[in-house]
Amino acid sequence: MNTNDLKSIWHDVHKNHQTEEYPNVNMGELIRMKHSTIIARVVADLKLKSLLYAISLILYLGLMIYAFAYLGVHLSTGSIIPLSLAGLFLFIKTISEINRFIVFIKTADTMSMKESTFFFREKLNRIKRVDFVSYFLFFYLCAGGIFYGYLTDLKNSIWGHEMLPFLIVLCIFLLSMPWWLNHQHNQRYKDLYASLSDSANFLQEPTNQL
Amino acid sequence: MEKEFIEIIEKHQGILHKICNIYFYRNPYKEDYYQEMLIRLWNAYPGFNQQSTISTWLFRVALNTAIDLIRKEHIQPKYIELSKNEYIIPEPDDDESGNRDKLYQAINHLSEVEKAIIILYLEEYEYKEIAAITGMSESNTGVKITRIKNKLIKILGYEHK
Repeated sequence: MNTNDLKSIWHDVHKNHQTEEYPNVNMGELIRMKHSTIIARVVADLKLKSLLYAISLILYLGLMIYAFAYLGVHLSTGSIIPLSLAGLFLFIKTISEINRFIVFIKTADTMSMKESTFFFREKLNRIKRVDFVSYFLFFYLCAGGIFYGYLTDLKNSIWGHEMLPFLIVLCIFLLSMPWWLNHQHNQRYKDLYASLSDSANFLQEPTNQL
Repeated sequence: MEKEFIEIIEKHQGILHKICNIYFYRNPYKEDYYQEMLIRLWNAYPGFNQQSTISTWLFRVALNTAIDLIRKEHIQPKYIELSKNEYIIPEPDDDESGNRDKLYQAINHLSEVEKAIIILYLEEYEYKEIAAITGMSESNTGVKITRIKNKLIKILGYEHK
């Protein structure tokens, strides 16, 4: 087969298919929309998730300010730690969801394919970095909080000694969580990373591949 | 500007359908993705500075959109179950459709970037234009096209002469 035959096959199979394939598409209406139906639903879902976490965080902050500044509630350090961690969790989830939303809506349509591939890979790495830093902070502070709680409240209690191995295992588990989640990210997006690497390598000049 | 844009789309809609058919081959969301492509073309249109031809610009934006939509499906998998009545994927009903299906199936085995390059090649684009859309050099474009053509011929099951 001559390689030019590919062109003739291509033109042959399309010669009778120049008619409009999507009769329901109304251009006038379409260009007034921000997204098509399915993409709009996905964007709305991401927006809703970000909004719910943000509202929860605002409510939490409002309640904390009301309790500590207005009512003048005084709590022990051992009680403040879990409360702060709950707030930190909400903050991390809000940032993470907003980051995902931004990455989803950002586009690089007018760039060359090579640039848009690098652009997308950078965005994906940004999700990974933000998630890792957030979870690192959260889980390490959790482990620190548990250790602090042990030193101040549990160490001198009657079962303080028996609790220690259990707490050590729990802390090791918490300290390893950011790396485990990072690994999960790599696993989850394994195909996407592979496809991006293939595209990037394919578009590189031969000298750059050496 | 709106009228001008609609005229351009009507003139080049064949190309857009081909991109959609290649990238979203037998995908139930094909029409939605086609619409998203048009919306993104419209959003990018004010930035078109006539440095390239309109069809080159159109191809660049449409191909980037198609690839971007596929990538984003990985980030945010589709979660909405569409009823079977809403989207029906038609089976090929004649020889020509059968041939088209065979060709599309073969192209579907290529990577996202390979698909883009082969569409541009099959649509008679010059190496210079393909290089401008992909971001490769002209010489590298020629090498890659030869490689993709051979790969496609092999997938189609033809003997290479």
